[in-house]
Amino acid sequence: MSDDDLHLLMAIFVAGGLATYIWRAMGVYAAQKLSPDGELLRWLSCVATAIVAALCIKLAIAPPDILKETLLATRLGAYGAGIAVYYALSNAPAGVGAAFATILIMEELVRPLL
Amino acid sequence: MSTEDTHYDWSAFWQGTTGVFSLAGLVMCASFLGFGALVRGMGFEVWPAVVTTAVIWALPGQVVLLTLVTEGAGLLATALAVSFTAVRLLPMVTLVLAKSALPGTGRTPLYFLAHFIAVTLWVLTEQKVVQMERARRLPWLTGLGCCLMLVMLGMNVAGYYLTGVLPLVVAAALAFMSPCFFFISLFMNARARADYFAIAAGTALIPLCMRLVPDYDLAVAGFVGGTVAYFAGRAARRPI
Repeated sequence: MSDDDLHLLMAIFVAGGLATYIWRAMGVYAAQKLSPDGELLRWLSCVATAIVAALCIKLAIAPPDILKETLLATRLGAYGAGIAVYYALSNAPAGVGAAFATILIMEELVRPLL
Repeated sequence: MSTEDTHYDWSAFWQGTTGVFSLAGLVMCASFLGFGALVRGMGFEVWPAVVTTAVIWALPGQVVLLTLVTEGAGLLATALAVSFTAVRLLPMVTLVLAKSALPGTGRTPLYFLAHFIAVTLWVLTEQKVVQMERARRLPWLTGLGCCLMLVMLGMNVAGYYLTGVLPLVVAAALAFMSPCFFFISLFMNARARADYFAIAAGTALIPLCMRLVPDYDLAVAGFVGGTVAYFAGRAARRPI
């Protein structure tokens, strides 16, 4: 293993693994302190929900490289179609499938017309 | 609480492993295939894809880490940047364990399961695990977490060597399936008004937070949005 490889491995363990696990360990600690049906947990659930919603919207408006080529309307449209179909059919796989189809349709059929 | 609730029922571990065959498992496969391809595109060998998945187990952090390494950033700066992406794991670990751990039992299984907890296990806890007997919950999640990780390590390798096989638009659509699944899951799991308020608040705040506090955008949007949603939900619970 070369020096570069060793540095990369160390970065992955320290700057990656440790820096991530610290938050998980704090989560374990907090779980032992909180009562399972308490108000604090309700609040934490709201925070987690808001974080995931924020993460999803962030990925749509500032997408990672592989999605940079798609239109913003495609990405937001995928969410809209996914949620609409999920509610219409009460079926999550159908919602995810609709989101997938929306991306292909928007990029392959609608975009060339623009 | 019955007497059976003092020991975990580890037979549920094996049932948990079958949870890989689910919508959640499928969309995760797409994401980790994509990550393998991304790592190749960054010019790395295959092992950093596999090792980051095993050690970090949170894709946004993995992408940030390898991106900063290619840019030659220092260890401390890299650790801080990765850490910012991982703050969201704290509430998820707490919520999952609050619903799955048995009080008065050892801590080792909790710290072990915590390593596997990210959005997917949180979502599945709300959807499936809360309906199980208490003693089976933590073993089920541990089995699922271990099995998901094994499968995703394979997906990383497959994605790394399959780069370029898929048309770009299909690859992009696959990469976007995880966020779509997460977003739909938020609506699936919403039970109280506060949950819908939280979705709305996180959605509304993130564009602002990305501009004002780019390094802490998710943490701030989540903390502020979640807190506002919680109090709005409380107000809605108590008619004036």
